[in-house]
Amino acid sequence: MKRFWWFLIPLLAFAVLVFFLARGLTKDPGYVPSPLVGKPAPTFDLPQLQNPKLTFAPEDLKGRVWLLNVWASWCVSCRAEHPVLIDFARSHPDIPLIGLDYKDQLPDALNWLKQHGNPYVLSAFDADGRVGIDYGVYGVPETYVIDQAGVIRYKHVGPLTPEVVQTLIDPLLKGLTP
Amino acid sequence: MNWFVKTCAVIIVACSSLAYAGEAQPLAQDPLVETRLNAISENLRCLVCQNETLAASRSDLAEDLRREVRHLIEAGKSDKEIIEFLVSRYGDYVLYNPPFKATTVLLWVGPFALLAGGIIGLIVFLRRRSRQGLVDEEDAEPVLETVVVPAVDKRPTGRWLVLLMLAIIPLGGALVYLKVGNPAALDPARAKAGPDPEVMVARLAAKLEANPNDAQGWQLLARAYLVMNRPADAVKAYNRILPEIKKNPDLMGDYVEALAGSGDMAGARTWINKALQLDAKNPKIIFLAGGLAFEQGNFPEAIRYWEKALKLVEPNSKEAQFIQENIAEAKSRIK
Repeated sequence: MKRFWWFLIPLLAFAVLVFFLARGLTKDPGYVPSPLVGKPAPTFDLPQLQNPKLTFAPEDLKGRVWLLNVWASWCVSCRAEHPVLIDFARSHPDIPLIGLDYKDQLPDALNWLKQHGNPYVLSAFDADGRVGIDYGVYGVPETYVIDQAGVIRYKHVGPLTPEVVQTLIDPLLKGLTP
Repeated sequence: MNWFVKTCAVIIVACSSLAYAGEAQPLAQDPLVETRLNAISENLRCLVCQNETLAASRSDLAEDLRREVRHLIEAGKSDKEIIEFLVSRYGDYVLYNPPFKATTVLLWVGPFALLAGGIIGLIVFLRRRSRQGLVDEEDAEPVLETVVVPAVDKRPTGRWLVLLMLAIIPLGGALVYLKVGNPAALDPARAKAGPDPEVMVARLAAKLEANPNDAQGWQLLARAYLVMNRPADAVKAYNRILPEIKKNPDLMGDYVEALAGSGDMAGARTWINKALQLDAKNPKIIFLAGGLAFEQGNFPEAIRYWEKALKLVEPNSKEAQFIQENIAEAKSRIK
């Protein structure tokens, strides 16, 4: 009887191995956890896309919960994401949605907003991608949730989907806003 | 034997400071910065194409990040500060060599723990079985036993066989590694030395073949060849950017060095005359013209050129001293 239990050990080890391998299959190997979550949003001062004489800095929104969405006219997934953002802006009038137009050409970007609609309160124009590097941007589109204290609470890489908004962003926003 | 070969490295160092006495050399072309950039980005992962290093990747982001690292090097940051800059933005993920910390304990310790567990398990198993074998032979015949070790081990030799196997397996592994592996990589001093300049130059040459319009790249490659004392290859690289050279007397000077170093004195003379026409007040060109005269045995002319060059550089500078040494040498040859 005692020997029977000994045979269970390799079986158990095998089961553990299979469990972790199976879990690995469900994860996205391209996902890079951001070290910026929980840290203050890097500061910048960039001209506004549609009004280059004005600038935008994250400090302008201190005391409010807001979303920073990194986009570009050359970015194909941004097009897929766009209707979700339009919906979001409509259903969340109290949450400012700020765009960061990343490594774009001014006329292309303006044209893109004209063609597809502008969900953003304003877009900051990051022509050379320097601010993008400070935010650890590596795959446009990316979305950051920033709280009243200016701390990044969540970072989403890739296009937002209605599911992501419903299951991740909405509950987080509810927790952040009184 | 050849004045140009003999003084090649000195010329490059001295002359570049001669030529750029007035203005700072564009640092992007500084081979030292490029070498450090390569060494650093060799160990960083490109975020977009995640199985490539930052050095190898051609993605836009990798280019931006290399530009960023180049700026940081120029700003005098240490390798550690530069890596911290990237880790604070992109996380440990950018490192090919993950740091040892709470979340990576399993990664670093796991394999050794498994090995130790296996060895302990094996010892326990063997001990138990040899004891059982003495006490109760019937009981010592489970299925596993017939598979793992044949019945030989009932005799004391069985244990020795196992110990022998334990010794042979790692030893065999080590021998195979010595044969097919890269034992030099085990030496931390050599592993840290960074990429071999020969390899980097070869890589740059391959990149340029794919992208031959990169004039700055050819210039960098040619300079590297000159430093590595391969003037014939430098000439070949310079030949790819002749239109560029025709506009720039400094580049002409480099080209003359390469031509003279590779033995093409007629070509060197032609080009030095063109350079003198283009810029008669460039100390580097004048210095090289003197070198050419010296090489042809015309020492008085060499001295004339060098004295002219001496007036154009700062007195008492390293360059001035170097020119004076050459004048002294030429004077000693006349006597």
